[in-house]
Amino acid sequence: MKVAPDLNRPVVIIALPRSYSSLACAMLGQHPQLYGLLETQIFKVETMNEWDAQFSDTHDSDGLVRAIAEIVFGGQTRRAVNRARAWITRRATWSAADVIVHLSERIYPFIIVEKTPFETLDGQMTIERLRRWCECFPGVRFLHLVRHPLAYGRSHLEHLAKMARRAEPVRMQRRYNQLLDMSTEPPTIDPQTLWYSVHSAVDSFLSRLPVQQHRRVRGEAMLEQPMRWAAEMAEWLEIRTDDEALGCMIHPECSPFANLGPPRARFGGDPEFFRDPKLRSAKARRNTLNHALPWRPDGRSFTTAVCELARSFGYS
Amino acid sequence: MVSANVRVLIVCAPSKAFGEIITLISLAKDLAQNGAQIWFLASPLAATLARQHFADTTFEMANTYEANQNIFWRIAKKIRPNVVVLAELYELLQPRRKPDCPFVNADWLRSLESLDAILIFVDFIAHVPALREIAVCDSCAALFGGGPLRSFLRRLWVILPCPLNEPGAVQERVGIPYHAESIFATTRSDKARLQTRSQYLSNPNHYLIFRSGSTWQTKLAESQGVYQHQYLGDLLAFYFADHKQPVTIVSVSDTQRLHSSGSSTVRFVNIDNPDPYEYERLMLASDLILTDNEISYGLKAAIGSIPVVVLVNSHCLDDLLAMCELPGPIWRTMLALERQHPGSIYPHCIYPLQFESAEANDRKANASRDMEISNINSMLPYTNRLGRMQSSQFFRAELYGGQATVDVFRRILMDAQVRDLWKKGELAYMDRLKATASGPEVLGALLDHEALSRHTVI
Repeated sequence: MKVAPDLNRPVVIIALPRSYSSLACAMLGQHPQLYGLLETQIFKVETMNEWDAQFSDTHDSDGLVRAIAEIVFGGQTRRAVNRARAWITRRATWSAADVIVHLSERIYPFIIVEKTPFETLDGQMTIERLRRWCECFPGVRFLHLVRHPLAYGRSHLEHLAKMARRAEPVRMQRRYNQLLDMSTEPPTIDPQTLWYSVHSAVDSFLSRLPVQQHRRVRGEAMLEQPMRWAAEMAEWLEIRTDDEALGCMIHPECSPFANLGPPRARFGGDPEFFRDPKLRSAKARRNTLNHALPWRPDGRSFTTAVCELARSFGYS
Repeated sequence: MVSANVRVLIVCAPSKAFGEIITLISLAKDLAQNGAQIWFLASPLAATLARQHFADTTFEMANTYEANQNIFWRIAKKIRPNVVVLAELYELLQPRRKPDCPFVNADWLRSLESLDAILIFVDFIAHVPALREIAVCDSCAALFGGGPLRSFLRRLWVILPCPLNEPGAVQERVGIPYHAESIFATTRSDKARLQTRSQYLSNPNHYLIFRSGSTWQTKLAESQGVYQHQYLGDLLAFYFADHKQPVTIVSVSDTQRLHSSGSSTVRFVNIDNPDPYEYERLMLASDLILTDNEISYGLKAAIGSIPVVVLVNSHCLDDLLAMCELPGPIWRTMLALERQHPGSIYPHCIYPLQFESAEANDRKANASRDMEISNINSMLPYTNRLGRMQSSQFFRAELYGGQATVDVFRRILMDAQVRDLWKKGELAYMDRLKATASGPEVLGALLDHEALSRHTVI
């Protein structure tokens, strides 16, 4: 596996879907020293051959294709996208790490920010992805972006319901499978399962890293006080903290990726963000942990484990 | 002056020479000190130096037009520069040449029309007349899209780094002369000077000669099959043999090693290029500086402090052999050079570039005069030339000049009258230099649209 030089210390946003990761990535990426990518799916697999087999026929490939079109071919035109797809195909023998190191070298000294959401019940798979980042970029910094489990659950289910109207059933089935509570018969769709599985795996992995290498942030805090959040992030990442640099960060709409891409690479992130990428600071809706979950027909609330973990993240 | 919200992107494509990047870093540091934000897009060699001062904002060029233009636009989209500074435009001037870091072509010029930024060209060696010729030649301009090229040159402001260019007014010249703020801060601490001299001399009263040989010169010379630097040691050993005090020549070059083939009283010390600070320290500790590049950028810090002699050759081999009275060391060296590669001896003042035809005649006339007239005034620098070679503050000595060259060195090192005259000329030059604006002042004026339109290329 290719290992990037020490100087290259990307920022990886670890988040579940529907947790403001598109916004956070675009905001960070607007800092004059950082460069935000889309969802590349890069470390979900070991090799580009696997990547090609798993993603190239789906919208999941759009993020990497758009990034390559922009970085290697100079823009997100229809022609550049076609060339980007061919570029990926020709690199089937590369490891996934080779591709991300190549991109990071191309944009150096900008620092890449990546944000492929984590969406698996298998904690080992989550840890494996994080481990691959560490192996490839020993100096990687992880931004663990969390959202209140209730708000996350509502948003995720609403989003899947919208998606279900046009996405292929097989794809939807795969995504719903990640939300199943298997303790009931029949299984119940309950996003808290995924919330707990991902965040607990991430939490246990990050706790073994040096403190400076990771930071946990509540998405709600980012929306409430974006300038303050930007300043905290810049300080943590040891990059410019002047007003101009921070001012750039509250304009995610200026990112080259803050829009829908051309045909054959339309997405690569949250479509709702692409349609309206402007930042609107907002006071978060008050959510509680001892609430009967609106998506459960049996009226159950969060499990004790979820409540404990959420409390450790600062939620009440 | 520039203000804090000025964002400057500097493009430095030269991949074998240090002079351009050293000059640009100096400009960039002045701008940064005045609050501007600086980004570099530079060749691998130039990027290595730029990173020493602008580590987080230096991008390295690749070896294709597409890759370099992509990087340019990536930076431009991200930082929205209000000033773009270009160091060289060899792609326009020599379209057949294959540069290591190609950048400017018709596509880029066309796309540049969408960039809302002031464009600036740092003209090191009077390239503007040639650019103007290209603009009026339809078939030349057509290589670069015609209209986009002319529109680019109409937008392209010219600034002239000093000391390299004449700081005073020069008729018909296009461009705004400016000085680096650091140029007046160059001070010679006696303690540091003595310390540096003691590293190379057993007695501080001996002569320390600083000699600089550029990597690009060696590479270009070798590509042409000429190896003058292999014989330079013999020539210098002859020229400095009979001085009252022993002479040590410190030759600073990554690619050239000087030595004398016979027994010599001159000692040679060869070192690789140190960092720019050490380079300057060594230079300012010396008694005399030698170069074979009349427009050397790296030596500009010596202006006003140490005399610089540029070794030129104004004659072809036949003339030189005819001028040699007796077969001696110079005669032997010339023959050895020619035996190794016929055609190695030709007129030049920036080795290994040959004089160009019309200019050659002019040079030859001037040089013959230098050789023939013993009046010391003929050795004083030319400062007001206009044309392909701009201006030089340096003394000239003929590389194969024999006794005349020995006299030049002797007088510069030992004749108080000559040194006084030189110092006077240098002080007058420094006065003219002080009258120019600094880099940040020039850019500030351009951003405020104060400058006159005659300072764009066309």
